[in-house]
Formats: sequence, C-alpha cells, structure tokens
Amino acid sequence: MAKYIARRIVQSIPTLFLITVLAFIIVSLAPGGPTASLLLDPNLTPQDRVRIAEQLGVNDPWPIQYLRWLIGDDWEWRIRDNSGEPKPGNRLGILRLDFGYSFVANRRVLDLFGERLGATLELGISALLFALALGVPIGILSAVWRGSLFDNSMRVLAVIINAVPNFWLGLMLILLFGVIIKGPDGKGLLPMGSRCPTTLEACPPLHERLNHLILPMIVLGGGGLAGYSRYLRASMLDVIGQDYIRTARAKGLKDRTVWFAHGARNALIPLATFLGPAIAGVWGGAFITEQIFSWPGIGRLTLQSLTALDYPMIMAVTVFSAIATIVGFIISDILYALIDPRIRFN
Amino acid sequence: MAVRTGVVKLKDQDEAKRYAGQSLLQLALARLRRDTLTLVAIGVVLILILLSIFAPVIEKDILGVSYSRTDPVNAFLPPGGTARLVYLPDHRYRSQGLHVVVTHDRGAGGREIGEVHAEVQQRQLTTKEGMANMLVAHTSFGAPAFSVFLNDQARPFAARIAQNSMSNLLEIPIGKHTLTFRRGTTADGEVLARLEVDIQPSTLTTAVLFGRPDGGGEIALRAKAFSVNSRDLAVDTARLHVIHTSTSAPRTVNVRILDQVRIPQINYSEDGSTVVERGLFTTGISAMDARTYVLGTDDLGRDHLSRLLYAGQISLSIAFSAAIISIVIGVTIGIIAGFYGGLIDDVVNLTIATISSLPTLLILLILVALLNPGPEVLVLVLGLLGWFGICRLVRGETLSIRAREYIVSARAIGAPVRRIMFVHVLPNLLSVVIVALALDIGNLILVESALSFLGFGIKPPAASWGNMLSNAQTFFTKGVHLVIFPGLMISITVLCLYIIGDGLRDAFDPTLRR
Repeated sequence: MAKYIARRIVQSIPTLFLITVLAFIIVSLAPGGPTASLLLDPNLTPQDRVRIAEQLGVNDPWPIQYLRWLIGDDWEWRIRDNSGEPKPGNRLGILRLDFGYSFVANRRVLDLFGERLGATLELGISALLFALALGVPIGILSAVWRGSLFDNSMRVLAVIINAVPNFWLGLMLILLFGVIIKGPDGKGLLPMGSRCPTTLEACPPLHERLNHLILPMIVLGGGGLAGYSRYLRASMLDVIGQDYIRTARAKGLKDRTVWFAHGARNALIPLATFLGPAIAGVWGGAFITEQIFSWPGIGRLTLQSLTALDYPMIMAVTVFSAIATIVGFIISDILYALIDPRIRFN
Repeated sequence: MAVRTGVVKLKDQDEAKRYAGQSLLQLALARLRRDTLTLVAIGVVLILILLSIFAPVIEKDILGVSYSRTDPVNAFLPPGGTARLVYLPDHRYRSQGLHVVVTHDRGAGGREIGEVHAEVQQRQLTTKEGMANMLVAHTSFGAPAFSVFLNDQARPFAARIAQNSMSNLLEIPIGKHTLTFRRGTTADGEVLARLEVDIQPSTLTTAVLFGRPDGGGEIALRAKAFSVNSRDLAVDTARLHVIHTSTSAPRTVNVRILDQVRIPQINYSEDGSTVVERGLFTTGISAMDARTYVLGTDDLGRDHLSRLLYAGQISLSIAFSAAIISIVIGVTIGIIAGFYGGLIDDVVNLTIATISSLPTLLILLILVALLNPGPEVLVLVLGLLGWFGICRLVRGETLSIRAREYIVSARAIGAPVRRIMFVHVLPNLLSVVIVALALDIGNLILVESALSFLGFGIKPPAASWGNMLSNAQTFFTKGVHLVIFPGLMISITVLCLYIIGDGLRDAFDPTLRR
C-alpha cells in the first residue's frame, strides 16, 4: 500500500513540474511581460525603473527567471546595494513555499490565500456534501425504480441542470429567494450574497449564518448533484444485474434488503473515484459561484487578480489548483484501492 | 461519404429486417427520422441560427427598432448650442465623471470629431417638504421651446424648455394640478398641451412631449407617473453640460456617453394608445423613438430582443467555430496517437493529463485575461483548449478499430498507413465525431457565456448572451426581463444541443442507450 501511494505521488511530479512551466510561460507571454504594470507607474524615475527591472531580473532569459521563481535567488549574489556591493536575493522560490508578493495588495501571496481559504473550503465542502446527500439517494432510487416517473423526471432534470449555465441558475435563485419571495421581516427570504450578515464584527459561527450558505451551495453543488445521480444510477444498474443479487433474491430476502444492503453498498464503491474530478469541478465552479454571491473566497480573489493582472497571484493560483486537483485524484485512487479489494496495486 | 466498413449495431431483430443492407449513415438517418424529440431540438437550433443570421433584417424591418452597437445614449446638439442632460444614476452607480465623445451623426458609424467639454456636477436630489419631482422631456423635432404653467398661474413654473433638452426636473407641490404647456415663455402663448397630474410624495412623474418631425402639427403629451423608492430620489444627480462649440462642425452632432449612468425609465408609444409597460428601461431618447419594444429595452435604451439576436450571432458563431477547430485538432491527434501508440501516445497522454489537472475555466480565464482577445482570437483559444475530450474519445475508438479484422487485412495486403487512416479508420469515427460535435458546441456556449459573464470574454458594446447578464444583479428590482431572457436563450440552446447529441448517439448506436 505504502509503495502504491509513493508511486502515485512520484508519478504526479512530472505533471506538477509541467504545470509550473506552463504557468510561467503563459504569464511570460502576456503583452509587455509580467512586470509591465509595475514599471508603468508614472511616479518612477528612469533610474528606478532600471533598478526595479534589475531586481526583478526581467531582462534575463526566461529559463533563468523560471529557475528563480522555482528555487529562489538567495543563492545568487546578483543584486547590488547602494554601495555597489553584491548581496544575496531575498526570494526563496515556490519550492520553499515563497510565492512572492501580490502586486496589488503588496502582501505575501500565501497570506492572502490563507485568509480566503476558509471561505472557499466552507463553500466547497458543503456543496460537495449537498451534491452527495441528494445525488446518491436519487441515483439509487432511480435505478431501483428504473423506468418509473421518478426515474425519468430525475434524468430529465439532470440534463436540464447541466444545460443551464450555473451563473444564471445563481441569478435566478437570488431573484427568487432574495427578491420575490419575502421573509417575515419584509426583506428577501434569503440573503442575496456574501458570507456573513453585514456587521463590523467578525463572522458569526457557521450555524448562525447557514442562510448565507444555502444558495451558493445549491449553485455550486448542482452540477455535481446531476453527475452523481446519473453515475450512481448506472453503477447501481450494473450491480443489480449481477449474479449475487439474483442469489440474494432467490434466498427470499426482502426487496429492500437486497437493494440497500447488498446492492447500494457495492454500487457506492466507484464513488471513490469521483473525488478527484469533484474537487476539480468544485474548484472550477467556485470562480463563478463566489463571484455571483460575493463570497470572499479564493475564486473571487483569483478573478480580482486576473482583472488587475496580478501575476504572482495568477501563477500561485495555477500551481495551487493543480496541486489540489492532483491530490484529489491521488486520494480517490487510494480510496478506491482501499475500499475495493478487487483493485490490485499494480 | 458512405461508410463502407465497420460494425453496424442494431436494436433488435425487427430493425435488422427493416434496414437490411443499409449503410450506417442511412440507418442512423432512418432512426433519427423516428426520434421526435431530437428532430424538435434540431429544429429549435436551426431556428435560432436563422434568427441570429437575419438579426439585422429582423431588427430593422420587423421590429422597427434600431440597435446601435455602441452605447446609444444620444443627444442632438446644434452647433454653438448647449444641451443639458440630467441623469439620475442608479444609486448603485455613483457616477465618477462622464466620458463624452462627439460624433458626426447619429448611430455607430459617426466619425468622431473630438471630445467636448463635459462637466459633471454631483447634486443631491432632495425634494422639499411637500413637493415631488417631475421629469419633463421635450423631444419633438423642430417644435418651439415651451414653458410649463401650474394651475393657470401667470408666471411660468418652468420656462423655456428647449427642444431635446432631455429631462428637466421640476419640483411640483403634492396634490392635483393642471399643468399647461405653452409655446414661448408667456402666459398668452399657444397651448401645446394640458396635463392633469396627481402628484404623490412617492411618485416621480414624467411628461414627454412628442412632436412631428416636420415641426408642425399636433403635439401629443403623454405622462405617466411611476413610483420610485425614496432612496432612489435621494441619489446624486449627475448634471452634465455638453457644450458644442465648433462652428465648422456638422449641423447636428451625436453625444455618446460612455459611462454606466442610468435614468429612471418608462416606455411611451407615439399614438398614445398604449403605454408599454414591459420595457422597464428606456432612455429619454428612446422615448423619442416611441417604439414598441417586444422584450423591453436594456438599461441603455437598446431593444432587448434585437440585442438577444445579435448576441446569439456572436455566441453561436464562436461556439460553432471553436467546436470545429477543437474537433479537427482532437480527431487528428487522437487518430495519430491511437494508431501509432508508443512515444507519441505517451506525449499526448501526458499533455492531456497535465492540462486536465487544472480546471479548464481557470486556464481560459488566465489566457483571456492576459491576451485580452477579440472574438477571433477567443475562438482560437477556446478551440485550442477544447480538444482533450474528443482526442481521448477518438484515441480509444481508434485503438479498438485498429484491432479489427479489416484493418489487419488492409495492412496485410500492404495498404499504406495514410490510406488506412483516411479510408478505413476515419469514416468509422464519424459517429463519435458527430455526437461529440453537438455536445462540444453546447459546452462551448456555456464556457463562452461564463467567460463573458465574468467580464473576460466578449466585451461590451458587443453583445453575447453571457455578457448581457454581467450586470444582471442590478436589475433585479427594475428590469427582471434583462435577467431572464439571456439565460433562457443559453439554456434552451444548450439543452437542444445536448438532446441532439444524445439523439445522434442513439441513432448511430442504440446499444449504448441505458
């Protein structure tokens, strides 16, 4: 097992490496280069410009710049101080978790991420749980009642959910529950956005602001819900067709026992493989969901960085997304292997 | 292109008898003909394509509206004249100064003749105790200036409301009054119109004078009171003075205001018979057009329906062309990787695995934010990043085709690799490719609309279904139609494409249906 995990991790290293190259190339391809916005500041004198460009090393060939981004420049006595003495650089490189400073906020990228991570995790996890909690039973029941009205309407609904753009779904939900349907206080039934009620104090604990979570959770989990129900229906149909189910029925077990104790338990196994894609899906959907609902998470931070062309942030987001997705895939492979003894570690 | 080789899959014995001896394509077409749902979906998509292709014709000849592709807050100014535009910005949009461009004549084709002096004053629009606000717009061509008299008082309540001076904000005492609109500024001027108003504290009343373009004839007065939230009355008023000082300039100029300034809006119809209530958003100038807007207008007074059609033009053509690019790339690489295997296959797999470990939307957002592409480059970006799925499909299918007997025999008789690929493999991929194409177009519409919605894809003033929803949240209370219709168009189109994809898959291979 340990060997298998180790191999999966080692296998993912080239992918991650390629992602860092890709992130770097994309950003270098940008018109004017990544530092154009920094050097455009009209308050800078020409000497300042030269000095900053030299400090950032933007005139060096890009493999060297890439290497500095990767492993830092503290080993390089490159920059000269005011007296002309060379001194070591101060960047540690992303391999030592130094993603640099945001151009816009002028703060460490990792600090900015840390602040936003909680909100994104809160939304992402609840959306995943929502999708699972509804999608799994719907999928199983659809398979059990195959061809019934319930089955057919759920399948139609799944196609419709996939076809409706999720930002519009969000807008319509806000319109419905935030504007049209009024709560007892005369305002909308549910808040139209943001993570907390507007107060100057810190966010109250989660259970006091669940109403803020409902709509974004539905929007972010909607796609997953449709996916899970369809996937589980197929998986359950596979299981129901197998011999041991027929044996269980032949023994005279109750339908319910056959379906849920024998069938569903095995139909749930492939769900483990869904964790990786699910993390990617939730993460990809977070950009839009967080934007619509003014959710102060990483997705919204990313969009703000993209609008402001905040390159250190953009590169860091790329690397983090890749890590999150790859870790998700590794975990789901391992889970799958753990749950299902038919899978061999080879 | 007839499919000569390959495995034809049949539903059951009946079908086997009915379609004996037919090719895969004939068989698929015969099955499609009996699939009503897919046929309806194909019909809907075709209608949408036709509508968007003929958008200019529909706009001009059927709807009779003009949709300027630039921001169409227009005003006409005579040379040397001074126009005063009063804008009541939505309380969410505090105007930060207006960018004014003067063009030769009305419409998007006007040549820019320079910028004018524009001055924006922030003024608190507060109403005195016991008074209410009334907007008066005088939009008749060639008609004289007029004054407004309240309850036949001797002195005008508002004097010299000049032609096209847009909205004049009057403060009127609360209660029932008769307003008389007289030519000139004196109490003996010719009566142009009379208006009975019942001013309530919470109403903002608008009166618009319509005139005939030749300057004479009847002048109709239409008025409608609409209630506004008290907070809307308390917003800043951006008062813009546009002074057109150039003497060599053409007779009229067009002022285009490039800012998100909003006016409380109402629709009017010229003959006075109906007041169109659906169009919540028109500008004062649109009231001059006095057209009926089927789906209303947007916040800048543009006809919503024709904008939806033009947006369809952009959204559909981007999705179709990007899908074709990605299919061509995906099929080419997929066949090569599947057919040759080995190193090529490994490289392709690694590439796909690498890029798939990032959410597609993130890569697209980064590329689009950095490159800031026009529609053509956007098509390229979408196409170049969209081939992974189809490539994987084609590769798998090629692998299975390659192992079949007819390929083995073709190799055995020494057919060149290129011939095997084009004549034996490619036609058998047809069903996979066509199904993938339909689904791909649907997905690309979703992706493009998401990008445009976030402000990164198609940028205004060009319309796409996605960017028409960009500001949707500000219209929740005032113009719900602006939120509903663009999303409905996306959903219907994508849904139909998904149905077509499913229907085609069933037509080619009914055994796949579960």
